[in-house]
Amino acid sequence: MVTKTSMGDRTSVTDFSVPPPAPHPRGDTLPGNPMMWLLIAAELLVFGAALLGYAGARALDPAGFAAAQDGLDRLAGTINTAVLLTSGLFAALATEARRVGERGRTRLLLTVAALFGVVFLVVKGFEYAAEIAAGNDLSTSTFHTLYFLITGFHAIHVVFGILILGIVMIFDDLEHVETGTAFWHMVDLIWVVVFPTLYLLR
Amino acid sequence: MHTETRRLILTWGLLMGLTLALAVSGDVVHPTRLGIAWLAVIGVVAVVKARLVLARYLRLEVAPGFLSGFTGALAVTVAVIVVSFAVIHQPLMRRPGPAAPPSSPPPSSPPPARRDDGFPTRIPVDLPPRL
Repeated sequence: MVTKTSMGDRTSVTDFSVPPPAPHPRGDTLPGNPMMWLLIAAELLVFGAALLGYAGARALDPAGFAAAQDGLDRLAGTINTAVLLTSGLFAALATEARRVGERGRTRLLLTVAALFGVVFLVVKGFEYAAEIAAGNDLSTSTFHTLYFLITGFHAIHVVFGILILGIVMIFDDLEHVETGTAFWHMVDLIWVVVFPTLYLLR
Repeated sequence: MHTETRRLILTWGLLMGLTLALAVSGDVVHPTRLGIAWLAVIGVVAVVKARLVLARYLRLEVAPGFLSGFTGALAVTVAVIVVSFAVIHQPLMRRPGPAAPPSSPPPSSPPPARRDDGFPTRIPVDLPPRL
């Protein structure tokens, strides 16, 4: 909205074309696209079942799992946790920027979020390379089978997440940005549970 | 700085602090076994982090019912895993040592019987076949 006010020989122009972000209504209504929430619930169920299966398999062979787990690079896993959560911050900031209409800043923040995702994959690649160099692969032990399957499945989600962030950089409606970043936060959320289960609990 | 931006950065700071707490409680630099109390700490910190991601990053704080539902489901999953680790627990300190010798000798070479002074009573000698 443009308001012109004449006061004698002076004219002031006030631009209110960018409205302040409207607060979300509180209540039991999910924010964003409901289909994305369905996907998030389904993914959490799949990873939850996988982690419960991991706990069950470990109960059958605790000594074997402990020995195999000691070969993991727990520091790299911690660094990757920080990387992914930082990426999530930039994705959330991108949504806020889009909500106030700052499209250029939105694209920049989404790019930074995606780059952090690439860093996550690089660190994960080094971890896999170290495991394979140590002679461990999918068939080495039950622990390694589950480790590679669960973290590999999660890494595929990271790849898809980066692609989705790239898509919403182009088609940057607010709903698209919200939906794309929601997928990215789901990837965050899954790692927040996968990391302590596979790397730390022993 | 916008209020929401400040809140998100504060959330990120909390998540980083909790990640550091997780690294310390999980003793990421030593291959030691963890006590049951540390397993519980790891589980609780993981659930708190998940709730922060759900509430602030995914903005479920505007839907308290769904936030409680998602958090509860994750908490139950983590609790079952932690309890299974606590019930079937390894010794607290398991230091890596030299490789253990094979538990039983190969069947083709039985150990020679020993006398009281420690010398074998029968010394295997390769003799030519008796004609």
